[in-house]
Amino acid sequence: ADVTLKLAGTLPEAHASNRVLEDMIAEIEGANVGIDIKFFPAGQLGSGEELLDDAKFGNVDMVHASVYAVADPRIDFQSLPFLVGGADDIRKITQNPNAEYNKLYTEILEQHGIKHLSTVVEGLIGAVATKMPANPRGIGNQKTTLRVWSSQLAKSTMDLLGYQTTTMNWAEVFPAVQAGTIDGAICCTPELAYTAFAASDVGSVYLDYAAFTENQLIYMNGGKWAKLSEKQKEVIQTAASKAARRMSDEALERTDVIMGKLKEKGWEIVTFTPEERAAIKAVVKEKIWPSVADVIGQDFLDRLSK
Amino acid sequence: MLLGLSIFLVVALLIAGVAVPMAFGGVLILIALLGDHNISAFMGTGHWKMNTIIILVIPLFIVAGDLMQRGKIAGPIVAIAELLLGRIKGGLSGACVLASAMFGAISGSGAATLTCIGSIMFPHLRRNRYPEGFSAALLVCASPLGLLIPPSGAQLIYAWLTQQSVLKCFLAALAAGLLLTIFLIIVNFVMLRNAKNIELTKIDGSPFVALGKSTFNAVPAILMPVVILGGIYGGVMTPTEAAGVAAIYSIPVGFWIYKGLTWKIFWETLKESSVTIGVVMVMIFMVLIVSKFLIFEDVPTIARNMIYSVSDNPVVVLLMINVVMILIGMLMDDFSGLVLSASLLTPIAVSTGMDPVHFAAVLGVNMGMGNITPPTAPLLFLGSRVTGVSVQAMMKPTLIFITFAWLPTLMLITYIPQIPMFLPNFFFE
Amino acid sequence: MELADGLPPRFGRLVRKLVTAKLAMSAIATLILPLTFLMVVIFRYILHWDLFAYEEWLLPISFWLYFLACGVGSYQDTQIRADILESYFKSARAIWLRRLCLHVVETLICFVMLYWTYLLLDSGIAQYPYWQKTIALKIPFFVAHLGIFLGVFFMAFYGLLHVYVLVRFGPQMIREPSPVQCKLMGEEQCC
Ligand code: NA
Ligand code: NA
Repeated sequence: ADVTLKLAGTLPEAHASNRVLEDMIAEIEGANVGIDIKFFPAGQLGSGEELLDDAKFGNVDMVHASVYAVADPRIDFQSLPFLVGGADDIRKITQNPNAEYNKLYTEILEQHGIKHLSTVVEGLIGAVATKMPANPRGIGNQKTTLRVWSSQLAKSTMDLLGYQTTTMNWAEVFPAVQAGTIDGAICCTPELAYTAFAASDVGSVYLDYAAFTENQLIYMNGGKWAKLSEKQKEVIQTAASKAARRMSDEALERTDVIMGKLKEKGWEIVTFTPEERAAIKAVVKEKIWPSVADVIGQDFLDRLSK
Repeated sequence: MLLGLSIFLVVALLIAGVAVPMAFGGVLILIALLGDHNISAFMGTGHWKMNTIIILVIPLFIVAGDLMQRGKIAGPIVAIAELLLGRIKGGLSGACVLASAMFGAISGSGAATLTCIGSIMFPHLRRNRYPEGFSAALLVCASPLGLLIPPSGAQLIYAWLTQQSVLKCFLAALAAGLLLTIFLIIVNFVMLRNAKNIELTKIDGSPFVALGKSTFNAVPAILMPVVILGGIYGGVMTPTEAAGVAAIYSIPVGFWIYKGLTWKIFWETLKESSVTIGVVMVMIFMVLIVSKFLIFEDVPTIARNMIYSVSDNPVVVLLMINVVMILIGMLMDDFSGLVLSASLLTPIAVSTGMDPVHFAAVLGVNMGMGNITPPTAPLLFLGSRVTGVSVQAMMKPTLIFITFAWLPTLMLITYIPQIPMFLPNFFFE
Repeated sequence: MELADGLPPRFGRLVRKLVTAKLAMSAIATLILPLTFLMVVIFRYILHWDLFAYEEWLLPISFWLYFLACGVGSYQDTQIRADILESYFKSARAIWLRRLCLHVVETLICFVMLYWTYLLLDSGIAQYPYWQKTIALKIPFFVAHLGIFLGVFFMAFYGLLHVYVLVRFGPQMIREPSPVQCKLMGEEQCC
């Protein structure tokens, strides 16, 4: 082959997306356009934050991982609560490269020398808890302590919903929920709630807020991308888009099954009617969204609010 | 090729006596020259790898251990161990092992255990005419119990690197620690069976009164594991937070209860601890960078192929993994060896069907042993400093303890998964 | 003998002051680490309040601690090293030569590390205005990187001073116990 691309991923070996990634590699290599791919799965080379840096420096060429606002505060647009409403919105994003959501990623990453290839929306994030909050479908004191990740957006959203929030490293969240140090965490798609908590019999409530998205991107070092032939670019772009779509679709399909499995484990699942969710979203959008104008830029915020 | 050269260079530099972080810096120069990498990313990699709260347990356990030693917290624990075992021949040295194990429940490192227990026990052993080389070696060989018996800095780092449950890893390592305690005590009695001149500890009055009195004195020290482990298991704090609370707890106890600390000593201790922390953490920083760039060179696959080319029988593969870890342990200290082994060898161990939690215990025993196996044996040198006995005089008894206590522990822990996995399965399944 | 004692007096005083300052900063940082975790627990349990995103300022402090203190480690020559071959060097000249070689090699490597750290700072600054910052408190990564740079700088600098002192006094400065003996006797009697 003319080029060997180093591809790095962060999801655990057993995660279904890794099978899709393997197919993507086979598709690119099988197209006989002179590309070989060397795959470093399961966070061997480091976290998502670290890999974006590695891709900028060109030490890895291609990455499948989440991106974080440490690299650029504007990336925090992805943490806007209730930005993505449901399965339909997810399909709009993953099937249309020209969706505003994708264009923002493309524009931001381009300024860091990164070529955005495709977006995977693995699902929508709710809360895992060991007890039922006082006011699960509304806003008000929930008498429940949840771990939030270090994002002002996530924290103020959960504060607004009435939770006591606390910061904790993800590695310590499982034992902390298990020991009762915290009552739960806003953290997880239903699938992650199952694999990370329910499968080990920790936790008993899933609140399907669907407040945030769980995203991964497939992206490339810009310089390396520019050096590829048109034919090679086309093969890679096609394969990456297809993979992202498949990962998102398969994850969506798994959601129903997973919800059933959570119930089998005896979990209570708090779902929201469209009206209930719209009511929460309205308050959150009014109180929280304007606060990020200075971080992600009024221009971006307007484009997303459309 | 690059891999072979890297290994050769790091071994050569380490044996020549080049400081560990610079030895790994040397390997990184080699990687920069021969590999295809953007060197601007090198130091940033170290920052990314260590930019996590979890890794702070190492400095926290270092400063906690130093404060405990200066605060004389170990005194009453030693007194209890002495009362329990001290009145039979070889009992006083057996009590050293017991005290190290008990102290392991409050300290997170082998070095703290050695300085705290060794500085108190060695004078007692000498007074009762125990052979000096033997006594110092025993203290050294028992001190890694500090990192096998939870809480353990090493297990926290392993759990973080391999994404395992901290509590499960703690419990797996605990089994290894208890087994080692038993082996060490047995070997101790066997070795002393023909020793002459040993004086037995005399206790005036009723032993029960004495035991009650020592236990009372020990309450503030015993409260420490209660606070730490109770705090973790009872859901008050995470293991990292507990390491911080332990360090703070030892300050008032050291000042006002055991009265080992004064403001001057406190300040000196902080300064000394900080230098230890700096030296240890920068070393880990460099090892983490080199580990990552060796992964680019496919080290995990190459190592796996090499091991599997000899045999794909799990028994043999595990034996070879252990041999590799013993070699790593001979050359490196526990933390840098741990980081290297956890990143590169865990996948191979798991490929034999071993549970990563089980491997936590195997790795723990290996890294504990690495601390006392020459040529690079930080605890052996520290032991020599604490007791004033030369390394040479400690060598023979140390090798006996390694052969008849450490290696059997390692083999049992490796090949009988029921031992390390009993507690994790009991509590989590 | 301390390293600064082998330097010209005025320069030695300056070096000593720098070490004192670094030690004081490191000692305070060493106390800040556990205090922060105590506060985290107290805040969560007693005050029902969150020390939000505390890791974002605690981690840069810890990097300054690691690297400045490691610089002091180089000054005190207490870096972790294997001393297998040490006992084979008996004469003052042999011991002196071995120490000189080790310090020269270590110092050269440190200067390369310093160059890599400079590249880290440089590539970070070049990303202006989109510097890497922590998500919640927007603390630039530059802060931690600068600590790393200063630490490596001092490691290289003190390495150079060790070489200078070894060359200046020659083998006759080896009357004192070797580092191994230092370890045996306890640092206090040594230095
Ligand atoms: Na321990
Ligand atoms: Na060793």
